[in-house]
Amino acid sequence: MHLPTIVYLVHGMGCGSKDGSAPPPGQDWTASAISTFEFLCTTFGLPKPSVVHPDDLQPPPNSADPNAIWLAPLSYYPVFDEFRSSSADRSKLAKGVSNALSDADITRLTKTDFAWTNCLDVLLWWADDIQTQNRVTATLGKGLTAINQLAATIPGATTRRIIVSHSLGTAATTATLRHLSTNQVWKNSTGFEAWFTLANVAPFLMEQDDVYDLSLLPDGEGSLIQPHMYNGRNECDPIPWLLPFRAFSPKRAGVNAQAWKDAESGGFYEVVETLDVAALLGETPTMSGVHGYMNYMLSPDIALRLATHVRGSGFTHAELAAINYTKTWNALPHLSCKNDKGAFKALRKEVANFKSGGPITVGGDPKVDWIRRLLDGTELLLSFEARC
Amino acid sequence: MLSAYRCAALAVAIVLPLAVAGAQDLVAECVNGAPSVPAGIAADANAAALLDRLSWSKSYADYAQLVAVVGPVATFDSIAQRGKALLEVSGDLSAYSVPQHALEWRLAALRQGMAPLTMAAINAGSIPSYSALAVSPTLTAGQITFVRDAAGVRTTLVFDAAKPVPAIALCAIARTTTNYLNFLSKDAFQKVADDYARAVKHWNTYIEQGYSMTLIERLGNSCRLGPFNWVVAPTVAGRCSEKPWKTLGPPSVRTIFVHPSAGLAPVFDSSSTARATSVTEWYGFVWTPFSGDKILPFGASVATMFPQTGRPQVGGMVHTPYGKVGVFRSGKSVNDRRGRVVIMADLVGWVPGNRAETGKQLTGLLVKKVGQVLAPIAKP
Repeated sequence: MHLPTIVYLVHGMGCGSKDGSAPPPGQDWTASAISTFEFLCTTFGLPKPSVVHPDDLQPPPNSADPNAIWLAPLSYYPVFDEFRSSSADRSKLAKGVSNALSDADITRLTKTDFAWTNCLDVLLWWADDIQTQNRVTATLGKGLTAINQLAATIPGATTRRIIVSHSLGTAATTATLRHLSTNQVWKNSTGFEAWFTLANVAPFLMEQDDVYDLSLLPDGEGSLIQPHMYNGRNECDPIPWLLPFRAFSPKRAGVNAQAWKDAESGGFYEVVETLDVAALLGETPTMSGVHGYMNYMLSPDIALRLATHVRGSGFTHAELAAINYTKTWNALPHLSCKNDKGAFKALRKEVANFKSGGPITVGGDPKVDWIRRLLDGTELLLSFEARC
Repeated sequence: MLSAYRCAALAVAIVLPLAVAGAQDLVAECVNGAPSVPAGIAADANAAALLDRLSWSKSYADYAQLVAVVGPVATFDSIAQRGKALLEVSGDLSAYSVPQHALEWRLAALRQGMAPLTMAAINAGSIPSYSALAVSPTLTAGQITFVRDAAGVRTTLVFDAAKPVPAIALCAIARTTTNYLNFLSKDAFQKVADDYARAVKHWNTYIEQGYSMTLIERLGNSCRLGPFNWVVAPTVAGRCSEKPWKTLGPPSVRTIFVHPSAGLAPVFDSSSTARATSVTEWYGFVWTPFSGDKILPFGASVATMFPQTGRPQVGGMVHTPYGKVGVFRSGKSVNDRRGRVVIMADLVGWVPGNRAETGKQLTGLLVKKVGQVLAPIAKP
């Protein structure tokens, strides 16, 4: 009997390198993603997952396990690395991306490796609709469907699909799911059992009617999300708040607002607020970890929901007591600012200001404003990282 | 005021007993499509056999054979009948009326929608929506979100640890039905997967082997030039208002707009085999059709050649799958008739995403190759 549960991981910004060179084998983002997911599986008593890739032609060896878990990290960052590798002249490259950028923006974008490897990805995805965005959509679409087809080759299989997307990956996944929903066979199917959007930036990069389209409505008729969507955001992460008046919320869903509100009241859409910064044993958490993919996955409220869907059943009180994830979480290395003990508290205050600051109305051109706010947010995190 | 969702949830909570510890394994089995009647549970002696007969994981081969023999709708009926037989031996169903009615209503609606469909239509993915049949776990142990009812409200199925068979049966019917419909749609799913794989492959080929872009061309092809897109990249401008979920894959035709290149004009005169030139293509079109996974670019452009000596000459460039060649007006200087045909290299790759380095390497290789070929036959 073969019953794979497929967990797709979709990374966010900043997975490439500053010069666009390929990371050494075993050192790209998937290494830490796999470690983190395996840690969660071990902690919650789930089987060890098998890592699968879109180009795999055979199911992994453990597919005979009735509780087999397939972990599918989907990478699209090489599209951005191609861009970075084409020239060492960052300013020249940045000027070509968008005429929405001022000289000051370009300077901020290019002066630090962090901004260059993180913010540029977002900018490029947003600006280059025809090529970059299209290629990313095709790449993710291929990943989602190819692995699903691999599971379908197993006789008698029941395939469950879960997506965990982060940061820019939330927008890229939104676009991909919207495209997938144009295929009647997917739209009519049971789609994806759960979609985790961690630090959702889709509303800043996409139009309202796309982000909240009914094809993505949790538990909606004809929706690909059947039925759960979890929107995770760390209290000290400024990125999901680039434009507070557009931050992901059912009340901003326009003509579909009531349907989204119903999904929320029905428990199918849920905001999951996370706290603190932690990392796996042997790693050192940093201040920018408030936006980190792995930090989101490790946070207790996300971890529990993810484990529940992966297992296929909720945990009893007795099980939760035995697992005691809070204790496990507390035992992980947590952020510790040696140089400034009050830095995290100060960051919390600054991010609170960030959430209520910036453009306060729909006036102006939000498509431009978010770029500056993204730079503001990353510089804010970097400045506190320096203090720490 | 309570929403419809909350009303439904309350109704279930009142009617059904809360699950107790120990039911969670049954829930996972059901959700994962491997239901079983647990040992030590008082149940009809036939329940386990009937469950195996129903469940997809145990009877998929039987269902596949049935489809071939009696057709998809009759097989659908068979699932319903097997489910009904299991429910009849499952015990008291009165506590499960809400999820049971939701399931029955959905199955009836699906049956009605499938009845007129031909096998070809089913293979093409025309099965009515069955997303309402999805089941999934909740944070509450011992229960799952279950089938949506006629009003579109998702019901809840609670597994009573003492009498779990009715819940197992209902869950198994829903799961088997969705698995069966996935199975029927496998060709349509495969086609979608193939389309994405093809789009990725075509993009990679287009970028590796397609014609490079200058900064202005790249901006035009990325819809960053506003109304000017219709001048610089009119073949793509129509897609600018289109969302990425409408059309995947590279453009089938692109515009050449003020595109400088380098080339060699074979002259075979007393001093050299070839004359280096630069050429600027002012405007033209390149079609980029695919034959299988192979790109076969062809097109033409109006261009000017700028030789190292002499006056610029007007002419045209022809793009072929094997390279591009220019033919220009004859000049009035020495050797003028020999420098009219120019072999071009795709030099430009100013803007990334089009493999600038690849373009430069190809240019270097081409120049080197041409030199190697022509050197032995050059006049002394």
